[in-house]
Amino acid sequence: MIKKFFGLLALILLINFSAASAARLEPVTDSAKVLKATEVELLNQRIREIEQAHKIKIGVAFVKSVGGLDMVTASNDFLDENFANGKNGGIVLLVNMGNRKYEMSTDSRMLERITDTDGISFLKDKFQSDLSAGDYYAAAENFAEGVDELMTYYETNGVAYGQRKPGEFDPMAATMAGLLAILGGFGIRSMLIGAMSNVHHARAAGDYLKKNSVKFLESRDTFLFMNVQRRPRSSGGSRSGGGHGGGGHGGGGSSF
Amino acid sequence: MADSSVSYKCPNCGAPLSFMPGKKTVTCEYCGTEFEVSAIEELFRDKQETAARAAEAQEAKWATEDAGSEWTSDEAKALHAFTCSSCGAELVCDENTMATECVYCGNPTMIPKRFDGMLKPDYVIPFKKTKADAVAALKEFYKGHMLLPSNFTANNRVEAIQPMYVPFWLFDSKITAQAEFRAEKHHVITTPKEIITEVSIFNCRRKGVMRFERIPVDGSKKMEDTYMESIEPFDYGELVDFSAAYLTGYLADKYDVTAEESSARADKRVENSAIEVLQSSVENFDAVQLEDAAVVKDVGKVSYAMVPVWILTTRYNDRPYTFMMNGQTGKVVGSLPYDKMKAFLYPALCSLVLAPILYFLISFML
Repeated sequence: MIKKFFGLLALILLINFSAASAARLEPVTDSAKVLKATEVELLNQRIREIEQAHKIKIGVAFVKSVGGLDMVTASNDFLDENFANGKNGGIVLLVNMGNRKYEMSTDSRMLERITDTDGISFLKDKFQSDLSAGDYYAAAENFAEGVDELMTYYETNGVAYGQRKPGEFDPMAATMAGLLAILGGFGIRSMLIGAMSNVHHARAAGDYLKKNSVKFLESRDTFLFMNVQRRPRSSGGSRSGGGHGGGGHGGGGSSF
Repeated sequence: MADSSVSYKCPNCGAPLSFMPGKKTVTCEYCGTEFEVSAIEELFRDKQETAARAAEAQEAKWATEDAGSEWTSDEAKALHAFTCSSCGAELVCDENTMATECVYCGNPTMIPKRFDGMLKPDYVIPFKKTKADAVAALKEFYKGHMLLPSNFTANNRVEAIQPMYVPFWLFDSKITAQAEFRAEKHHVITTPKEIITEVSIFNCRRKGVMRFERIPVDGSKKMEDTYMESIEPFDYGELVDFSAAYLTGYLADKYDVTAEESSARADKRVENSAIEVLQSSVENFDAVQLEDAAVVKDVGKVSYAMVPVWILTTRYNDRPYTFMMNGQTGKVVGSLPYDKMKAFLYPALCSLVLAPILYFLISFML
């Protein structure tokens, strides 16, 4: 608990260092000093346009370290502290230059619009190669453009990217249903054919057991050992994913 | 020459006697006179002995005459001729037939020679179900089978209905059984971050004694084991001491599978049941698996009984179908033909109904 507190404190200090004097945290924070001031200004301008167009909040932060926190917790906290008040949700991209890892985090409203399974994967494809190439401006810009595309898709189609529209034919479900129905049909056929005969071997002699003759001479249960299986618990459990550290967050990340 | 078979004829009117299902006496169907089983036995004992001696003499003569002719020695052993004491016709039956009826005059006939050198049955379960019961039960058996060809009932004709006393060995055993089971208890703990499943493994030892009474195993090679096991169970409350008088009017076979040869089937059933009993006491576990078992027979006793079975043979599309009915309880067993078109259409229809329901459920879950 204490470790988490100090880690969070360090993260806030790192992120807020460059914008200590600002009343509201700008969309782009570069405490790792990987962007030029003009690039930061251009990015902030473009992100604000996207924010206004879709009534969302977007944050991008380049940091040297997250103060001992894991990336999922750090990105969730960064979102909750600074970008969680968008009408249609908020999303952040936290890039840790210290260990060359990045993590995106979405709140519950954004999770409906950008799903972990399809939306986050789409965004990764948009900017991960730029991060690997060291083009951090392009990475941040492409991340923002990707969010814009996904939000536009949601607003146009009424469902998140990768999700089916209500009532839309689902070939995967149809294939599975067809296969299961055929299997069920074979099962019913076997059952019906089996019912045509009641001739079978008698396996046991239960009908001839004298119930009152049964006497137990020994009955001993000995504990031998215990197997313990642990599996992570998925939080949220919505149709669009959301297993990102609990609290209704979505997101995902990787190394670059 | 003395008759080689004995007809149980009414001492009052001379008509054939038959044991009527559901009665404890032998009744003459023609004059209505009822006889105690013991009285009939007494009456015909001498006749049986005479007939047996006559059969021996006739058999020897027959064997000499036929030696080297159209019968092989194996066939000669299996087939034997007897003279019907009512009409004089020659009855041919196999080596195990104890009682039959004359194909010419329908006279119920015992073949006492066949009782020689073999064990006398200890018990008999008398027929309770009549021929009419058997026909009605067979028609009832046809019902409720969705794949039965539509024209089966109409086109199918009962070719033969025969009541037969089938030889059964009844095995009594007292056993000591012990078994070891591997049992699991599952405990799931859910924390905010993970689901922990603890599986506790136990070794469960059980040992017990138990007694089985009169496990039936048929002693006839002619009767299929599966059929004979399927017509079980029998109500042993109606088991009576054997008397040949009960066989009058019915076919009856003597055993051609010995008790020793049959015992393996009884032992296997006892073993399975004993393990089931022991396993049922392994309670309060989430999974139980048998690891090892040993069943030792402490006391084993066998008795020999004649059990009533109706054999019904029908023909459909030039193929015979045999059904058997427990002559005591009326339970019918058999295999019915199925309509291949129905066997395709019904499941296909079910699949068509299932598919949209499954599609809806899967779409909802995905």
